[in-house]
Amino acid sequence: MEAPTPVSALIHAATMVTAGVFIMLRTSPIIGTSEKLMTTIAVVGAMTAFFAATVGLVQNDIKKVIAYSTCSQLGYMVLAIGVGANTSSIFHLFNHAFFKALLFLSAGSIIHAIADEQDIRKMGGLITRQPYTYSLMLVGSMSLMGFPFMTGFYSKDSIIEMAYGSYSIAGTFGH
Amino acid sequence: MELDKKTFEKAHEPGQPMTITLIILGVASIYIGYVMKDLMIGPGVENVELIAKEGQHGIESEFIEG
Repeated sequence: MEAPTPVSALIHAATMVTAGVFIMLRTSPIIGTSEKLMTTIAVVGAMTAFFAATVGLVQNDIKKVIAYSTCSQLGYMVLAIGVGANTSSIFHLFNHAFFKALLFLSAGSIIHAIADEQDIRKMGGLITRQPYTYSLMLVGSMSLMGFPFMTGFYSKDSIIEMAYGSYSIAGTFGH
Repeated sequence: MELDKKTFEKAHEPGQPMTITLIILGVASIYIGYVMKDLMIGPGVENVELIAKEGQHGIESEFIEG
């Protein structure tokens, strides 16, 4: 938000997400020894996914919307760690990097084209001016929301299934 | 509230390097999940205990009822 858009693309797609979730994945043998800790992680992750998405809905800044969706996806990854689906978590992390980089760079393209205006309330009709950017932003958004047979679908579906298939209260809560 | 007409008329596609980058990421955003599915969350291969174990959990979740 305060950083230039390409920097946002880097930190949200790769660095910031990787730092937190990856250290939890690396320490998963330690985390996995405690039932209570796993439950706590799963519940916190599920609530983060929901809460961040809700906050993202009411933002007016195009970059803030994308940034909050990153937080939401982070919640999914943490939920996956909490139910012991470490492979699904890293798979989602991997896929998320691709479509979130795409979304941020497209947003940068739009912001630059309309004289550094970031307020989505002032945008509209930009498909007539930027057809490629519009299409790619659509692809990124569809992938992010888990449209069937796009990238986000495979990992998100896996996380949700694994949460329900773990037969725990926290997993079912997350589901 | 809206953009003034001049700004809107001046809006343009990014340059070629940016367009190419976006297209690469766009194609990846569509296909990478399908391509990497088996590698990342596949059932694994025989005799690899850890992967096989996690795979079982996943297979069960695929066919769960309810």
